[in-house]
Amino acid sequence: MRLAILLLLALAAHAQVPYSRLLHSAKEPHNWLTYSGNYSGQRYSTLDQVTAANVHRLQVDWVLQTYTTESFETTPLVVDGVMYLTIGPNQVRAIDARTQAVYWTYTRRIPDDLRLCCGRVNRGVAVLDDMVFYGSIDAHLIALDAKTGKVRWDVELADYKLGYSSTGAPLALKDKVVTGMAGGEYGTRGFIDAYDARTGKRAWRFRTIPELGEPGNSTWAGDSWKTGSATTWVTGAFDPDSNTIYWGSGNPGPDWNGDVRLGDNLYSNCFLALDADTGERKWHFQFTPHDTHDWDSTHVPVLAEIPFRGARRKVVLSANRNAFFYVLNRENGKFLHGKPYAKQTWAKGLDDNGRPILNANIDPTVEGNLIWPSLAGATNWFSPAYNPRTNLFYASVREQGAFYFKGEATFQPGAVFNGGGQRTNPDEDPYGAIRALDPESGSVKWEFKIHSPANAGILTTAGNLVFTGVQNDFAALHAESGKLLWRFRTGGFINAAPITYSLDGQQFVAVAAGRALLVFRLSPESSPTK
Amino acid sequence: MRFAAFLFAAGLAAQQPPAPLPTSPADLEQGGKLYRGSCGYCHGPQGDGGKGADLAKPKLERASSDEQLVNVIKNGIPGTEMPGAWHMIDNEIRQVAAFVRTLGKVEARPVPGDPANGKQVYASAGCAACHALREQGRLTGSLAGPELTVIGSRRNAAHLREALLDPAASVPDGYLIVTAVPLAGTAVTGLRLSEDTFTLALRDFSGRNHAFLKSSLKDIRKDPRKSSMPSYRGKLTATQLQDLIAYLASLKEPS
Repeated sequence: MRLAILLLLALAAHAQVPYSRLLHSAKEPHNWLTYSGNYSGQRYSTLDQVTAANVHRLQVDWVLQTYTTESFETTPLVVDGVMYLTIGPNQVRAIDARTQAVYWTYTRRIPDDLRLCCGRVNRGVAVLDDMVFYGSIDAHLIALDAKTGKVRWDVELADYKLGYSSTGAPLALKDKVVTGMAGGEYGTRGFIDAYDARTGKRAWRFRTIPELGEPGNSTWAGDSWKTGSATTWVTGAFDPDSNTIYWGSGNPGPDWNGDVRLGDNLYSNCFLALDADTGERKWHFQFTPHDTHDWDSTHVPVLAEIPFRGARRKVVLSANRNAFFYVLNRENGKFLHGKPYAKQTWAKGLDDNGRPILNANIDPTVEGNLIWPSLAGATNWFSPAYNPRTNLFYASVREQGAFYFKGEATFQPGAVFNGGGQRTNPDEDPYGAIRALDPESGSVKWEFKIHSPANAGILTTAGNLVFTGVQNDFAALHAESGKLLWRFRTGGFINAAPITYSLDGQQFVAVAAGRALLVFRLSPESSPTK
Repeated sequence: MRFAAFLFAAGLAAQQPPAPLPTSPADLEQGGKLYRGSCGYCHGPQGDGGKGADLAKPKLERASSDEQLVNVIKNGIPGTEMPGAWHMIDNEIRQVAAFVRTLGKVEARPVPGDPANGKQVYASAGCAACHALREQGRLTGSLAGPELTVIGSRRNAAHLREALLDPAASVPDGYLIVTAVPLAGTAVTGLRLSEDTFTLALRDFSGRNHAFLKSSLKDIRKDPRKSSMPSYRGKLTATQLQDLIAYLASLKEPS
């Protein structure tokens, strides 16, 4: 009998997180099993011990100092009392969430001649079975043994010396691990890859820029498709019912000089719907055709079912970097509606298909052309959140314009290929906000103003709460009204997105702030006894 | 193989002397366009300065060699308002540098006035009541306003004249006047030291620092078109003003 239990335990240990657990993550809200908390990309938790009524009693329970010199942007995963997090430039760590004892730290040797736009950052891992998957800054995908941190396999996604890197968390599903890549300022050629989780063998690669002769290739003038970037550096979502992966793609390259790549530049700045088994494209929706402002659509696609014109619709939502909020039919990619959620001066609006109706003279110039939003966008990679109870989509908003410059665009392998840039407008006082958008109308239900453009991700919970970073503070807002309910001065700027989990009946909220991970819980002396 | 080739190329590059700045009319024209877009706002369309340093002179304190100039454009000057031109590729930076050098070929216009006499005006007009100068490493004067030790490198004569006659026309960064109105108690006006979503710090005109939670304030008034510096229009003779400008213009970074 005892032997049988031991065997059972051993088996369980061998496959800690089978796909069935990821598929049914809603059954175990005490864990945080994927980058966005579940496959839908909602960053919503049903945990409700911490509520709008008691959140003022939240306090720091413990802190992990990382000593990293990089921007700390990780989303930790929490699996059965073990927390897995990444620390830039090159570490993955597993710690016991109860005691904070360190189980292991994987430290990768990385080259010193990386080609990066934006720091040696990393945003998290994926788990499947007994493995932890990590995309390294030198563009490898690595499978670590979840118990020991030892490398099971290590594959090169692409050559870092050509400007390829990996910063986003992979997405594990079925028997595969899916990952994007970064490098949109180096004339790379984007892709989304799926690897066999056991062996590391590549199962499929979807090129975000079609090959010569394939549909879409003719949207790139001449040879520009070879260096058109369209990277995929933010984690996607997955709909198991339709076996579809949803993933965002980035700017066409060179970023600010579109003269050398005339055409729509497919599939840059798209949401892509791919068959999870084959990587075949089911549909695409391009937010900003022929972009010349670096408005990547590398957002977490948020899958939701919403009331829409009298029926329930399966949609994918995006507050896009280009300042428009979009509601798409996720079964076919058709545009349902969209409207601006922040100041923009580049488009008169969207047509019936969701294609922007452009204003005149919006392209960057050598002398500088003032356009809203700035190249960082009306939002950026920060995770948005959707709360099914409030039916509101929460976005981190940046109200800021910029003078856009057009520069030289001569491709050299491994060298910066951006063709311009921006400088901010000295006559503007930029600011930020958390805005709650109603998916049915697209209108702003409430906003919470921030003194500088927003820079952190969002978590929403069944406790009627929205958690986010507000500059150096970690804040909780009322999910229905946006009222500030609680804040904590973390002492460091927050660039990451929060998570929540529970252990031994106690709910925790965690966020990377400054160079530390902060973990909060309700004050123990008066914690509820539910 | 590719890695070996790369190393070899890098090794060769390191041994070569820096290439001279471009000289063709096309390069200089492009450099001028880039300059007017990215640099002219502070350094003036003709390079004669403003918020940024006067570049229309044969010798630049921070960039006596072309490679130093390229480096300043590329990386900025830490601790100053000069940012790096991250958005330009090396060739563009070299075009801008070449254009900046043409600015220096214009005849240097000496600032009229007598700096020695201007130093007397500086003392008699009470400038030290708000401004400080660093001499032999020691600060003298007051820190209420900006330190002026190298103001002649940062601002041109026209800008200095404007600052003396119409200080509110261009309030330097960090000198925004803010009034904090508490829910209870008296309002405090001073220079904004810091501000974020939840807090505000300012220094009042008696030199006292104040910190507020915004939740304790009922109003925050900002006046970007106001300066705490009085205008010297009508308070100095034309000669005194000219001499004072000449003195301030002579306060340069050591080359």
